[in-house]
Amino acid sequence: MKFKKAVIVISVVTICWFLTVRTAKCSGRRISIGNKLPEFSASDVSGNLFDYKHGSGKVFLAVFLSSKQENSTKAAADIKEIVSKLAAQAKRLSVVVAVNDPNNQTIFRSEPNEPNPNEPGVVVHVVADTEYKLWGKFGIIATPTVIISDTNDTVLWVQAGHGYDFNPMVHARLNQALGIAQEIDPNEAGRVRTVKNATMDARAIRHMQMAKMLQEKGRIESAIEQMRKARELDPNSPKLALELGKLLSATGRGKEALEVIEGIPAISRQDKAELLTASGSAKRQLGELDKAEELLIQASKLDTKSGRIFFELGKVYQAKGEVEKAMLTYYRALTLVFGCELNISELK
Amino acid sequence: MLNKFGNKLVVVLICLLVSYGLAVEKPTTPQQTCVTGECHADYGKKAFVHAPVGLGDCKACHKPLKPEEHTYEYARQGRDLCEYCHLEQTAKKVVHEPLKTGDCMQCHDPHSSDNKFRLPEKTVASLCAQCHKVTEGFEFLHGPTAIGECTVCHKSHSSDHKSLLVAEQSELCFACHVVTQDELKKYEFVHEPAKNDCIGCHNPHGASNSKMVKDFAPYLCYTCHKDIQNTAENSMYQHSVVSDLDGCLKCHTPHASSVKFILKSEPITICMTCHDKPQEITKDEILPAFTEQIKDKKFLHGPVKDNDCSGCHVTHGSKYFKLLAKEYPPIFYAPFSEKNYELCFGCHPKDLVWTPETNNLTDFRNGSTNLHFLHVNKERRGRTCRACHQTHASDIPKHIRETVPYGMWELPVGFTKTTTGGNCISGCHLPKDYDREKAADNSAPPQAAKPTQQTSGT
Repeated sequence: MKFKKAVIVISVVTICWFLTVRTAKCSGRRISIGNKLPEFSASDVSGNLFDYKHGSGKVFLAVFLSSKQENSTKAAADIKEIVSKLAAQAKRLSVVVAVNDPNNQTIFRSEPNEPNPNEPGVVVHVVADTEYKLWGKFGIIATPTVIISDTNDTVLWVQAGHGYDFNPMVHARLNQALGIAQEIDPNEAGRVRTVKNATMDARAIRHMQMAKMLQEKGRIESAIEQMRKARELDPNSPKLALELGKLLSATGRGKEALEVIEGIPAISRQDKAELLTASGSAKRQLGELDKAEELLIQASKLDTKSGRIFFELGKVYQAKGEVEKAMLTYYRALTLVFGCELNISELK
Repeated sequence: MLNKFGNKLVVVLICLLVSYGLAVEKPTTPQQTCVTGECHADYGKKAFVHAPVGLGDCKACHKPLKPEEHTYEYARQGRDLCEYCHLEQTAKKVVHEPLKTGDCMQCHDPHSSDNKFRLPEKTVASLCAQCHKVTEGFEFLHGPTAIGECTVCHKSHSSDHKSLLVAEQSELCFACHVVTQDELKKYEFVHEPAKNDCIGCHNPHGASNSKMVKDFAPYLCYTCHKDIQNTAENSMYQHSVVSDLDGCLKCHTPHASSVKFILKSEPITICMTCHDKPQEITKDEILPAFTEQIKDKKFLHGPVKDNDCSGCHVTHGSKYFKLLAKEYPPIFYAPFSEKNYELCFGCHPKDLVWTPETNNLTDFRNGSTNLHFLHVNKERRGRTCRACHQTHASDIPKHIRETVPYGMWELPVGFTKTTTGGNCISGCHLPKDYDREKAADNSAPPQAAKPTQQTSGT
């Protein structure tokens, strides 16, 4: 029994000692990520008391600024811009800006002071921390310093200075805290990304676009030349092969068109319809009318609104000598092109 | 001899008589059409024929002046001649120069041609090149220029956009450069010309370089960034890379970046392309490799930790040594002046050295005595930041130095951190402690170190 009591006492003492030492070791000036943000009360520059208490369920953004520092001025401008874009999410955010010079509040005014109930903005509390009380409590060593906590009052992010990545980092961390979907991993928000406009893919698309412009101007041979260049740059692109095939088919080079488009893996319904149309047109040019008809009918089922498909199908029927069918199909094509029912008697 | 000459004369006379007999006389009265089997027949035989010519309606453009002499004049004068039918070609705001003067025939054969649009040249490009020598001396040509398709970008007759462009310049480039356009939308920091003025930097026809920029950096960049040019060329301390050919592109990307200053990479990565090895500043001064200064160090200064050398250094040029952004004393002692510490005060509060007593402002205090104030704020021999702190990295907390150069001596700082304060057994003063919770009493005279063994000497 005595032994048991001794073990319990020793255990309790050990745990207490461990906790004390751990706490002491963690007691650096800088506030740590993952810890609870300390509660505090402070008067804002309008004389109103601002209370930060745990359990509000709001995201908290604390910004420490020095009104005479250039970096603080830039940070203030960035924060204003980022926060102003939050719009509907703003009501879930609480912002406190602590400045150490009460005589110079121009760095960050409490805007907007009168939130529109229909479109609530962020209410910013500007606190004059002239005696560095908050500074000491939060363990700040430099300005600007930004601290963001999540809705559970846990510190999510602390950043001092106004570095090259200030804007994207604050943006990403606020989004993370507020649960706003974003494309960038917040841990990667500071990674520099630049435009990669010189990739093979980009170059191929440039040639394709030029081909389209040339085609519109009736410069079909030049357009084909450009599409061939595009395809050379990216021979595995189904899109480029299809576009080249369509151009070749449109200029009566059915055999070449088929060589280009055969075996293209069409993913989307639209691509599949276009592929079948180009193949059907090419087959017609090669005199394989039954196959052409089959392909074009398949295409028309995938894309019921394409005048082009019915025009091509009309040509097939015309070539087969099925005049009535050809006329009806052309009529259908015209209806789709002009977007209204035509008077068939006028056509006749 | 005479006989031979006589024979020749006879042959010539016969030829003249035959040709006169076969020749068609010019009509001396108005005709229905001029394009007949006998007259002006070639006008209708080419691939592309002007519609009135094809219809034999010469009066659309010509009217008899003296029919008996077979002379004619234009049906209308100047630009009215063609505009009468082709009014839409000159209806836009910007009109091609020849059209203004009605000189349409500079580019078109009025009757017929073997070339499309009845051009006098086989291609549009060769026609345009007669006046517009836009590719001379260029090694690299823009795609449409290279294939001679000027009309991909320009209208031939008139346009609502300057330079007869087919669309607004800000949109035209993106008609082909769609990937760039899509990418630009995703970036917050876009170079101003990349938004709507590609030709601010690029020559749309070609250039002597593959990117078709109008000039190389930094000269091209300086055309707008005069302030940077001034800094780069006139600063007391210059950064050599800025003036290098294409130097700007070592740090900046020309179109857009996810970070400000459209940097091409993280600042420290950029800086380390050179400063990972010692750099010769002058013959007598070698800048040590930065990587060696921070290698395996436990504590990095904030900007270094954040990969941002620009926290303290400026890149284009500075009036302060080591390209520092602001004033920072290079010496151990300095009379206190706020101006001396502008660099540090860029982030750290000035009150740190103005406030004798504090319980919040700094951890470097004995009770409430601010030891930063005590060390720095002195009229004559204030200790500068460098007396105690290492600016890039240190193995000691708070970026404290192990030693500091003091003349020829590497003066030890001897700092040890405790949970509530610390102590210094330094070369500056006698050992001293500080404690934030219970102020240390450093007033007691230190005990003289006991000699370990008296040795006699001569």
